[in-house]
Amino acid sequence: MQLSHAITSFESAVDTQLRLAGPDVADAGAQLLAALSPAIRQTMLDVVAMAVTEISSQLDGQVVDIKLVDGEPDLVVRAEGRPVPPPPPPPPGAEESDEARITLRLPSYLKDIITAAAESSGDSVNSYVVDVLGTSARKSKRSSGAHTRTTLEL
Amino acid sequence: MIHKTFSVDGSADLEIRIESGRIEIMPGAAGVIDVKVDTKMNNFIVDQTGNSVLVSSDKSTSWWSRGTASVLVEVPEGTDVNIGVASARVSSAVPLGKVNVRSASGHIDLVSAETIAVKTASGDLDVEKVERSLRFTSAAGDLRVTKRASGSVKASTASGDVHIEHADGSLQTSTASGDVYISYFEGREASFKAMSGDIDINVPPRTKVSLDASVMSGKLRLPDTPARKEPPLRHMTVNAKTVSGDFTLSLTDPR
Repeated sequence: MQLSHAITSFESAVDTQLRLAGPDVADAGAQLLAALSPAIRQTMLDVVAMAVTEISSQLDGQVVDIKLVDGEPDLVVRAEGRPVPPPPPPPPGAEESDEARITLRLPSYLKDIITAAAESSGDSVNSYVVDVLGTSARKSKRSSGAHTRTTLEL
Repeated sequence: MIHKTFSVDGSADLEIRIESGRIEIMPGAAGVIDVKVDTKMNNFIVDQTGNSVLVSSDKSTSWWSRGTASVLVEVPEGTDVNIGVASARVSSAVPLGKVNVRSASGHIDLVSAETIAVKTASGDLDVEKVERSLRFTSAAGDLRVTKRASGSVKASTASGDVHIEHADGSLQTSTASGDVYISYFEGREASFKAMSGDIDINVPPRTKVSLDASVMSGKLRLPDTPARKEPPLRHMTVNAKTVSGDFTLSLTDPR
């Protein structure tokens, strides 16, 4: 979060208005703005802190922290002492009542691999595919976004 | 029309302060600053103190009698320029020394400078080359470096975009919704922060990149590592952090 953007916009807007009133007023206003700059920044930080407190109070199991990086507030969401609860299970009977069908085209060698994997796990091919796809989709949904720290030799 | 010519030596500096209109800086002879001002304002100041030339609307002029001013100056290469305007177009066709511009709005168009510091609300900055340092702060203005940025570049915008054609020093950008596009980066370090803006950076082959990239809900795109194993020619550090914006690092042809 860049408070500098908001402060620059505010200063420019005030500066534009002051210039309309004449150079003396503009000069005095510029000095006043410079003197008030720390107070303006602190006021904005106070507003951010109030917003963070209000948002944290509405989150279940998570809190929002403020970290100052180079003088700018960074908002970080973290678990409140316990892991984020897993997504709720589907409602009872959902699998039967909301059953849908899709036609899946896949290479024959892959079909053989899936069939063998289903047999070894004791499931039908359909149950096995539904289980694998569901697990993968839920995992994908949870991990939207990414963080990587790596070295690339290009 | 006001027309004055001043003799200066070495590194002269020029200060221009007007509310609105146009400022045009053209190449002139060494040791001479030539000023032409077309305005209806009374008591317009065009004066010299030592090696400094001041071009300014008179402070005693009432605001209701003010109008626009068209300022044409011819300066030697390397002149330092300090400009303050509310809404005026600024252009320079001569390589300058230190350039400092503070404006509310108005397009700024420079050919090149040693250092540039621009603070604007909605004005854009177009510059072909900057040699040592570029500082750009804006709310809605865009930054475009159309040829090359050397040295240190720091750009901070809210909705303004940042486009740098070629950078070979250090880069630091911070945008809210503005996009960042670096066509060719061969510097030692780059740091990007964006909220919803996208970040695209292109690096040449044989570059070793120490990357720390974090995107919260955007997409992270990285190039495939080439099979060949030639030793890297450069090593750079790239840090990127976005909330909903995408981050893309790509390999581009060498220049």
